[in-house]
Formats: sequence, structure tokens, C-alpha cells
Amino acid sequence: MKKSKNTEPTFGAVPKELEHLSDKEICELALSKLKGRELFPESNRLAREMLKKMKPSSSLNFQVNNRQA
Amino acid sequence: MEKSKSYTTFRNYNTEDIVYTFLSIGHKKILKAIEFSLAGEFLEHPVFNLGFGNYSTSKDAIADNIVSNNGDAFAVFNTVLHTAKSFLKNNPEVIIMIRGSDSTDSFSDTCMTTCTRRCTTECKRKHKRINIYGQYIEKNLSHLQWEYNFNGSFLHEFEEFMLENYRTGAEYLSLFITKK
Repeated sequence: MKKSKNTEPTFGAVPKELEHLSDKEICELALSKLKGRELFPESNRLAREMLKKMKPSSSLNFQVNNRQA
Repeated sequence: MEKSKSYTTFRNYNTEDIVYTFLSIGHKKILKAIEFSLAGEFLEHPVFNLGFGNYSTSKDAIADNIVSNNGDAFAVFNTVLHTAKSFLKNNPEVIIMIRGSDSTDSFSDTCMTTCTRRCTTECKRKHKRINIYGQYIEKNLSHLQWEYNFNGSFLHEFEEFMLENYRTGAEYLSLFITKK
């Protein structure tokens, strides 16, 4: 049986109407569209939930640089 | 494929959460977005969740569960790591938290319905993404440990998560990275 070709466009592939733009222009256009939005709400929600239930192990040697950049 | 290649990123400076975009250039040009979003605190240090996915301009939507197969996995991975290093350089007091979008129960439930691998007990595709970060850390630990600390969390009892010093070979549900 002949396999059917998958014609579904790749999610996130740059569409034809933006192909005339430079890479920089495409990325900056995306940044302007994404400005002020939470991009990964589900990932962030799961991270917040996980963090609330996070405990340090007794042997944890936790080091964080306390200097501000 | 050149394993050290990475892409140029562009950053949004005007929002509370830090967002980077870049183009993955393989078989196709695919727009990628990285976000460092404040998720809370751990031991009085701010924790930023690293989110990463494809951005579709035509759908104006983001997806973090897409496997692009664009032939440039190393370059994409290196680019994400470069943004994490840059973020820690600019914010040395924060913690970056990394989780995989394929580490949830809903991922394996969905995968089981379409997957051809016929997994019986545990979905073999689950935790694949967090394991890639773990493999990178282990492979490069000898030089990374001079500049960064790595910790990993696992499910403990009563649905609590325990954070410990990173152990080679251990499997984790999330990774914490801090700057020394």
C-alpha cells in the first residue's frame, strides 16, 4: 500500500508570507507578538505546584550566588 | 553535524518574564521561543521556570510538546543552554528550574493512545526531555561544576518532592541550576 504523504505543516515553521523578512526581523516580529504574554502557562503552573511541595534533602548542599549582577 | 553550533537569539527587555526567540534552521526554518518565568521561591531564592517551544505566527500559538525533527537538535539544545547561562550571568542570585513537558501523567496517557512502541508498564517516551538535560550535565560536569551547581528532584513520600545534590545516573523530575 502506498504511504500517504504527511502534508501537515510543521508547527512553528516560518510561513511563506514572512519568508521575505530577515531572520532578525522574524524573531523581533515574534517577540512583539509575544510581548506581555505568559508563553507556557501549563508548564509554569506545574512548576509552581512542584515548588510548593519541594523539600531539601538532609544532605543537600545548596549554593546560590548572592551577588546581584 | 557540528555539536557546538548554536543560533543567535533575540530578547525582549520590557517584560517581567524574560523571553528569547530564535530560528531553528534545519530542513525548515522553525521559530522557537524560550521563557524564564518566575515560579516562586526555594530557600528564599527566586526560582524561574524554563519554558521552551515552537511559536506559530499564523496560529499565534505556542506548543512545548512538538518534536520538530528539523535535523539540528544539537544547535537548538545549545541555544537553549546559552540563554540559561546568559540568564544566570545577569541574575546570579536566581535558580533556574527545568522540567520536561513529557514528564506528566497526561503525556504518557496521550502517548499510549497513538504510540507504536506498545509499552506495557511505563511509557518509554516519558521523561525523555529532562533526561537529555541530565545527559548533557553528566557529560560536561567536569567543567560545568566550576561555574554552576546542579540539583535534582524526585518524588518522595506523601506526594512531596525532595531536592538533592545532583547524582550521576539518577533520574530526576526537575533540575535546579544555580551559579556559584
